[in-house]
Amino acid sequence: MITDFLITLFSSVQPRRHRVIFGLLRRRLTVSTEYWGLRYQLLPFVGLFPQLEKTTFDEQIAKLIKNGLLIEQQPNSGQLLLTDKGVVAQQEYHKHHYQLQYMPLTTQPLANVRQFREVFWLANQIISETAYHNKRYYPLQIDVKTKMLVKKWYRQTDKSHLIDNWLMALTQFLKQLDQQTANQFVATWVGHQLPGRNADQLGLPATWTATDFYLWEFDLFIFWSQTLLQSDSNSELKKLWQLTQQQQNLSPSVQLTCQQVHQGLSIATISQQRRLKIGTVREHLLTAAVWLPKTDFPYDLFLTPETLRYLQEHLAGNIDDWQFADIRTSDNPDEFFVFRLYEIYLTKQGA
Amino acid sequence: MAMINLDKILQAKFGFKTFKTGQKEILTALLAKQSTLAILPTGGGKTLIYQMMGAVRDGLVIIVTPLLSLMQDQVARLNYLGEKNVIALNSTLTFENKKNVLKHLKQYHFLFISPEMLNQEQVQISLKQVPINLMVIDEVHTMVTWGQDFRPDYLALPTIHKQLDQPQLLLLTATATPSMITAIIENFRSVPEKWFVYQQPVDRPNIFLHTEKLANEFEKKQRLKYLLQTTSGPGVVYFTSRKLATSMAEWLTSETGQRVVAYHAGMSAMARYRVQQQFMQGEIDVITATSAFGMGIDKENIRFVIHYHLSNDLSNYLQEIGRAGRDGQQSVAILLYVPGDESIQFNLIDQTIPDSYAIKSYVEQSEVTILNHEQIRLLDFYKSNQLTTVEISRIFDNRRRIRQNNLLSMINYAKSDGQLRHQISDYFGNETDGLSQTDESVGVTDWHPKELHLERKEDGKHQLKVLNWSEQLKKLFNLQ
Repeated sequence: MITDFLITLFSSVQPRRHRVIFGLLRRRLTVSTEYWGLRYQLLPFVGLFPQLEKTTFDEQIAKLIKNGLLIEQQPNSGQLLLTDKGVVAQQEYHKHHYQLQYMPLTTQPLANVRQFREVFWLANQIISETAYHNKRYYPLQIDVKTKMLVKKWYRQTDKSHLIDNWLMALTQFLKQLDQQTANQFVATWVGHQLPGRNADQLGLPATWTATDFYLWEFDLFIFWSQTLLQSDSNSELKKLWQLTQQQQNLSPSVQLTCQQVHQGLSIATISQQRRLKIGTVREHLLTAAVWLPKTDFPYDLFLTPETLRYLQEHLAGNIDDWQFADIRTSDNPDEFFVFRLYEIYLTKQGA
Repeated sequence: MAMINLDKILQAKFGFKTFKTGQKEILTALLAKQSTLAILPTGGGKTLIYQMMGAVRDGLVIIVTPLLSLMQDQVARLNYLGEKNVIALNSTLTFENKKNVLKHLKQYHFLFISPEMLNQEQVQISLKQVPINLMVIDEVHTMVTWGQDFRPDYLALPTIHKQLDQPQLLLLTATATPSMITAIIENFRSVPEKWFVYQQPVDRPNIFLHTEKLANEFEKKQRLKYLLQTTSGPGVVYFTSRKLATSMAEWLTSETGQRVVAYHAGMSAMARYRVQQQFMQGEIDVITATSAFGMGIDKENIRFVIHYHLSNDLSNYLQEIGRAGRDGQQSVAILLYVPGDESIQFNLIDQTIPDSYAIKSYVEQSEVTILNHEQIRLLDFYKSNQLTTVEISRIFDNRRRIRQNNLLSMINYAKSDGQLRHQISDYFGNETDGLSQTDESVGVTDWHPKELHLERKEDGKHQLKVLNWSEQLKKLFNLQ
């Protein structure tokens, strides 16, 4: 389904590895994928297409190359640049397709937004049927775990005010959208004797594809999720939303490593205490640096003034072109860790 | 066991006054502990049978069912009927979810499960810990037909049944020829007692049968458009590919002004749900579907089923046209055929069943290049049963021949100049004496929907505009 959308993820000036892009979209992450995701400014798209097949993706890339829209920087490097023709195609794409508004700026894991979307759909259906005192209906079939969340939430709601409370929360959000978008968005919802509209029944632009509809709908849920995150409301909707905030960009293990570093433990001590390889602890720290705002990571612990001076002297120009070999002085793997951390540090400064 | 008053329970628990044909006979056999094979048409009330067994007997009812989309629909349907303790165990569950379900199996009355999942050791271990009321195998013809939907794990079901200490069996299918019935029962030869086999005559008098031969694809497409414009719906049109079902929905919408929507397994669960419900509520005139179209929700008033392509055999054809006229009212099944159409089906057979070269390469050299996931699973299954390459090839050749033969019956039906009802009943080993000779026709010129009171009248129903959101909220939450 992602056919044409892929072109938006490439650049005419920054060569990008298609393998990294696949890893990001599918959420198959390594530290290296995350680092390049940061460099390409594509981290918000992590997990956008969790079902994406490698063969489908590869076919699409091959097609873009064959049609002269993408070109390999060097043969077999896997690093691709948009050609002039590709730039035109990208512009054309933007003209005729949905423009993501909220996703590029979000820091929320998309898995949470996806779960919010599903619990919302079911909760909304339940409340709609309740409003008609109807118990015989086909509930939306969503996965068991998500269904459990809704059940858990529903049990604790205050039934006497549920409909009003719910309606108020919906209205509050819908008012922030432009009229037409709000009309279309609500039309997709399922309720009592309301089957909900599909993409082609909403009067969306004729040039839009199934992917556009998916992105349009997802983007709205990201916006909604963002609004709920920022609001201090105590609505039932907010409570439901809270239950969906389960996944985090940093795994519990990475978070623990961060905590321990903040407490003053060295990499070696953490490694010993938790029986982790030193390399694993270093990877934890790099992952944390990639995802956290600059101020939340203790760069100065690892990038001492002396180290910084050395790196500044030996590395210049475009970060993406830097070679670790240029600054390497020994076989100590710590050197790569520092090199990569420095790159992240500079990226966070806007380099 | 004390006599159970089935009618009373039917009324009290399900709100029905009478059983559908066959339901009572099957339930009586089940309550008498007989293993049962029931051949019931789609919409013949299979669900009620195992639901009723769940109501009158303790223990878990296991329903083995192949299609993911169908499984979700069946769960939804039981939910709709007020059953809460229903769970579907299939590949869409996360590891953690699955573990959780298995741990709490006792809480459930109904377990829908895919054959792949049932074939897993940990699942069988968990199932052995709970009392099993009944083991239902849906679409059981899959075991012997090896159709497009063939699942290797179906072959393991007899062994699994033994491992679960042989719970009582209810085998269900919508269509089975006499040879299929024998083959299915033969698979469960370890079941000692006499089987109860229930079969309804396949002829559906209220479904008029009609076939047409067209010269080429262009004519066929135009003819389909004409049929939609002149025949009263709601209707379903079957295609062999999702792509065509989708593009034809668009084309037919713009050409006829009717609300034509595609439905297939490649759509998201939410999109499928919306289409199903719209169709149920009369917001869609025609659905263009693939043969994998599993609509677990019954729509009673489907007036026509048109096949734009052949089904892979008469069993499938019968099952697909059986969606028409559930309400007993006059309906029609139309088959459109262009010489050469059968090549699609022959190709599908070749794609499903690997040839001896591919088998040899895999079994002896582990080369998988031209095999798909299902085929590899199937070959692994035979390999693990110590079969030689030659033996495996023979099994596959045999299957290919059977499927090609079955397809021939479909092709003959499409090409024939008459005796449509006769061919179908004969194929299923039914009596052909009392069949109507007039409720069928062949050829473009012999199609007269008016005589069947099936001519389309313009109803002026068009796609509705999207309303203002606040109006929609009022509707959603009953605030008018």
